Amino acid sequence: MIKRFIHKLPIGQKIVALIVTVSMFSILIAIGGLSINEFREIDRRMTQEVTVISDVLATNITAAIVFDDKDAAQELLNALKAKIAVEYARVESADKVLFAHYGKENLANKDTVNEMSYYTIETPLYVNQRRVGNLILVFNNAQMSESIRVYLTVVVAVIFISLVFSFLLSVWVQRRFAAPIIELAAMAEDITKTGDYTIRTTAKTSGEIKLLQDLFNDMLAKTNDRELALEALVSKRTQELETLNKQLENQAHYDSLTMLPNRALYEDRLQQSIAHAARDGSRVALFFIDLDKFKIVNDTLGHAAGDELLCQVSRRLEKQCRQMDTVARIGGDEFTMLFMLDDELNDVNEIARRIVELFQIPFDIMDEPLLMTMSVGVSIYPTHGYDFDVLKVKADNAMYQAKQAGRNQFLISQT
Amino acid sequence: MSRYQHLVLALFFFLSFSQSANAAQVHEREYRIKAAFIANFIRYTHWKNTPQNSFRFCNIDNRVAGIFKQELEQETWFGLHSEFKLVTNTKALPCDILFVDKLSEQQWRELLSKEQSKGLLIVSETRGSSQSFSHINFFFSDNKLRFEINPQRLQSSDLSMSASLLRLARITASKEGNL
Repeated sequence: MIKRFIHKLPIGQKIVALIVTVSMFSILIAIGGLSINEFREIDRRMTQEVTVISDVLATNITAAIVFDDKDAAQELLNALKAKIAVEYARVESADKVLFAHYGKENLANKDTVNEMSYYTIETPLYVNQRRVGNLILVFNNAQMSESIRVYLTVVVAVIFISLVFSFLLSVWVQRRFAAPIIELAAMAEDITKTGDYTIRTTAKTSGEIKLLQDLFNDMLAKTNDRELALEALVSKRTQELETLNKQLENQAHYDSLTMLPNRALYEDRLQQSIAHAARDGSRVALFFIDLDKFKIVNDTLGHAAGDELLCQVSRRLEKQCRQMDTVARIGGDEFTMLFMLDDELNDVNEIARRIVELFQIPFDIMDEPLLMTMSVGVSIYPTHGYDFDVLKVKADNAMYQAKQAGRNQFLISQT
Repeated sequence: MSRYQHLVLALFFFLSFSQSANAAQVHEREYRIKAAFIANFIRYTHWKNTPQNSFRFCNIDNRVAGIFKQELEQETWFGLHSEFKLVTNTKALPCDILFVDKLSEQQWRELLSKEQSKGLLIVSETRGSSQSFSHINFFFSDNKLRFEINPQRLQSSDLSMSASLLRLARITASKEGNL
């Protein structure tokens, strides 16, 4: 759980947590060691002091015992008043008979002493290896407790100051080292979102962080260059594709010789025109045009001349169309024209006559004038039918009838 | 003599006898205590020239010597066995310690030269003795046996004494011309 929590922390907080934790552990370990040493030292000092008092007193008390001088013994014990730590003193003979005592008599009871956490030291009194008595001193631990209390106060203060210091240090380290990394991360995120590779990091750093920063900026510069190159390449490729698409579309919908819409596009537009006319109740005129004796041109003047003628015919027919009208080459020397009839243009006879007249002027084929006529069949939506195929058939039939009737004329479907 | 007179006489003799017997008992007890004290004096005293083969304990009075010997025969000082000597004149010296009883003091005060008292711890029991003759002198205070020590005399006799013992003693000083 702690591991997961730490993993979720940002790097800055991780650094702070790491430094504070390491510092805290180090301080606690150091203070633990020092405390053990200090407690032992306090205990040692206390024991030493007590032992010195006891030894000094024992030498004099021994003499008092051997000379049975209770007054002198009592006088010696009374001198312990100067030693605040000594709460009770007792001198007894070798057979445990009280010789002299000093202080709180309730401490004469060993159980009381133990319960009250007093410190007792018993010194046997010898003369020439003969035990003549005992000196029992009872000390209170107040002095030791006070020393420990002062020590612990200092320890707590040191821990607190150390923690504050380590926290400030970690914040400084975090700002010094993590901030540039955080900035790099934020910048990388920003670049990912915006795709702007022109952004650069500018934080003042040194060492490995600066190297990382420089490499990152360098990488961004290279990425930006590559991005630009890629964009240019993609743009070029797109343009090429568009051109190809356009060519394909042209090939699919336009006649490669005359650049007029081909049969497919013509049929599509015818259907659209019929649908449009059906919606607003207008009419559509369908013209089927076939050049008269075009084969002779090919045979006599060659295919190039034939092609040139087809191109010039296309241009002349185009001039008769408005934006909304269509002229298409549907094969060989066959053309179709679609006219959306409206208030401006509604006289089909007039349109047909004008088209036929277009051919009264000779064409200039290979610097030679060439007169070419045509036969035109017309069907009208909805007059001659509602169906696309029906209208085509009727226009086609009318065109044949016009050819049979002597060519160079137009005929509006009669059926 | 009447019967009454005989009875009074008998009572007088009985009381006299019991009194003297009691006095002798008290006397012996006193010297036993003094023997114990002296044994401890030796422990707290330092001889410049440490006794070599045995510790020589000298007495003048035969009876006191007997008590002391009885009390201290088993004692050892400085790892040496004690040797009890009864001395009647200075020819019997040298000794390491000499107990001078009340009756003998005047005689020995005259006999003992300054040179002879070098390295000899003299213990007496006569009032004022430590000021002019002995190093340690017994006295009674509140029915308790006490002692006084003359450090000056100790020093002049090449002896020294533990502060612990000095602390228990009444310290005396030599009279002029009596070091």
